[in-house]
Amino acid sequence: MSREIKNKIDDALFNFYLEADKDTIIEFAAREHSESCRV
Amino acid sequence: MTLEEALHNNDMNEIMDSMTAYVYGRIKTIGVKDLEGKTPEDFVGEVLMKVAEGERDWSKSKVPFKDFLFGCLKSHLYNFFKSFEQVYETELPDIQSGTASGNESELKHIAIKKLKEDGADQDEIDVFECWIEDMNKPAEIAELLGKNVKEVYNITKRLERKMPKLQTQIIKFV
Repeated sequence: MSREIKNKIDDALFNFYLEADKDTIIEFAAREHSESCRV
Repeated sequence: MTLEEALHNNDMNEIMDSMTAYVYGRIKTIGVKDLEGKTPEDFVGEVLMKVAEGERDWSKSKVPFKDFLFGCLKSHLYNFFKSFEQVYETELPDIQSGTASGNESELKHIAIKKLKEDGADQDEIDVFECWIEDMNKPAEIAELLGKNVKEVYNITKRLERKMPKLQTQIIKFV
């Protein structure tokens, strides 16, 4: 993937975590935990 | 605002949870399994230590404290993952020199095709297109797509899971 497109994806995901509210982060953390337990 | 005031005025537990979630996300996106014995929490701790010791100088920052910490973390992760990415970049010498046959527009179309093949729905495609068009704030994307921010978060999370595979697939087309 070109560096430019990769950077755009990285920037979007950076803003996603920076701006996500507390409930969203907790929800995602719980989902990560659930997925890792399934593995 | 001094560092002490910033620490006092912000919900540090919430910020650290968000930072840790970001590290988990980055690891997943890059597809790296060996963190040289570190946990995602270790990366956050290292960044906070750098800030506490003044290696990262909050007093010179012009952004909110949370943004400052996230910026430090992004840079910290970049430096750590650089060695992994250098290996990756050696597979794309033509892209780096700007002589690749596939331009960005072509790559975008290939990426969307691959995302669809990987089961991405129209919402995911719409959000991905926003990213490629340099629209990367969840609130802005939500407004443009007529959705609420929570929906955009959920779509982004689904898209994030598809990124490692997408990167691998795109390499084959350049």
